[in-house]
Amino acid sequence: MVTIKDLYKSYGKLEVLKGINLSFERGKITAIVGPNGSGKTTLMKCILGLVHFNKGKILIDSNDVSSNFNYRELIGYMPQIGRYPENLKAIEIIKLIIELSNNRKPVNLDYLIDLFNFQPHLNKFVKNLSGGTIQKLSAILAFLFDSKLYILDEPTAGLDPIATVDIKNLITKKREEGATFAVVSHQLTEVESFADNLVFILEGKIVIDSPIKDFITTTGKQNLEEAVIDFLKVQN
Amino acid sequence: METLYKITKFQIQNIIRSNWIIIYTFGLILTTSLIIYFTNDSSKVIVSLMTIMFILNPLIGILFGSIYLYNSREFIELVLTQPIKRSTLYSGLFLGLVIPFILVTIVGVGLPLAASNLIEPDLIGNLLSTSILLVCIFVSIAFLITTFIVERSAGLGIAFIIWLFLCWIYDGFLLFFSYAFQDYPIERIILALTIINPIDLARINILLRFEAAAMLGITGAVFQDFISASLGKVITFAVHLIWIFIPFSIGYFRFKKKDF
Ligand SMILES: Nc1ncnc2c1ncn2[C@@H]1O[C@H](COP(=O)(O)OP(=O)(O)OP(=O)(O)O)[C@@H](O)[C@H]1O
Ligand SMILES: [Mg+2]
Repeated sequence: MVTIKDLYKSYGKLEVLKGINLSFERGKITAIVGPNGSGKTTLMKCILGLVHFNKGKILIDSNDVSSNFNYRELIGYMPQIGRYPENLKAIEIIKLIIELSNNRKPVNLDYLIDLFNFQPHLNKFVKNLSGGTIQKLSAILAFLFDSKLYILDEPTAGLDPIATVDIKNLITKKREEGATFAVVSHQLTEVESFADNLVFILEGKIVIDSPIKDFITTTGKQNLEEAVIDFLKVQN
Repeated sequence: METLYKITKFQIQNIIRSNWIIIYTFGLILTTSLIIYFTNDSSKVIVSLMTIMFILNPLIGILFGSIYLYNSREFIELVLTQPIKRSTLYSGLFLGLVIPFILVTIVGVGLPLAASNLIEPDLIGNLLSTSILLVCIFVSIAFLITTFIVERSAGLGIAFIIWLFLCWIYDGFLLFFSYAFQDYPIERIILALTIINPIDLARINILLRFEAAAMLGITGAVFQDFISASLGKVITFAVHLIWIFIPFSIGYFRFKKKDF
């Protein structure tokens, strides 16, 4: 679904991505983990074209992301920190995205509003929404259309336990319908519960890229958390 | 094309919803009416109105334009995750701001002027179109500033200084220059320097229209000697278009490469 070849990105002098080679398997959930500042968000933004990379290539199906922008209609994106125009109401933002969507149908709208109990917030201005509610708005926007690829940057950070479970169920449901996922997360237990593949980024390089089960087996540990910690110790 | 229309429409709705632009429109209507009522002499009315249209309007254009763009950061981030070209978004942002300004100018100054019957329609048209071009120029400069300067207060400071320079400092410099070198044949240089500055050019172009060139001192006289009224119109229009196009394009190339 997504192929990333030899990707480099620096912000000024700061080298953030240093030769990333990666692919997201179709119909699978790839979890992307790594310490703060290791370049996870930057990598996701490169895929979306929000950030321009210095070198390398990103293909989505066979679309080169640098040469065409229409591929973005294949993607549902949930940013790490959703920032929305403060003078707009939640419903206006949803409508705006629907209007700009190249005639995609917002098939999941009612379902999502229901799932996140969002009805009471629709007519509130963004500046009056709580952090978690904004996060829910981001989730609604990401899942509004039936997309082939979902890029979720720490989707459950800041959500209460119920909303967290809701998002996890949503991910599993869409995956069963055949969607591909790239999910950035720091919650290794959570990752283990729903993801198929693990990508570990350390200082802009990929140090682990493997199916989660295989990775745990090779380290001989009980679960992903222990396996990752063990792996990092060996690295040092 | 359709997307451009949607973004533009969305931004216009947003601007019109902010009370700010409504208040400004009524302020303009009021001021223009008062000027007409108390002056009642066409050339004096024009001179007073020119202060508003060629000095105040550009200031509002460049300041409000910068604030608008800094405030649009979230909107830009949101829209860019959708299948939309950056050029479409950038143009939409520009049109979404410039169109309300055009409406404000027409309603705030044009309507009272037309209603008063004091000034011939041809001159009103000229005054309005020149003012609109100037606003576009200053909005375009605002786009240039905000794409390069991330920090808001610095950006607004620079916007103000640019306005100050083009409106006041530049003229002082011209005056000094023509005074210091009055013994030399510098008419052509002065002429060129005047044409380069969009505000000076706008002023002269209007004043020449009703033979008040005397009020312009040396530059006006020079302008009249060298350039006929119709050529003056063409030159003004062309120079103003260049002034819109250049900052807008440089801003666009930066915007295209920006990381969000
Ligand atoms: N727009 C930007 N301009 C300059 N530097 C940036 C920009 N965005 C990110 N960085 C820097 O790039 C590095 C990687 O940031 P990134 O957001 O990709 O990390 P991350 O892996 O997502 O971290 P976290 O787990 O904290 O979300 C950091 O050092 C950050 O300071
Ligand atoms: Mg991040």
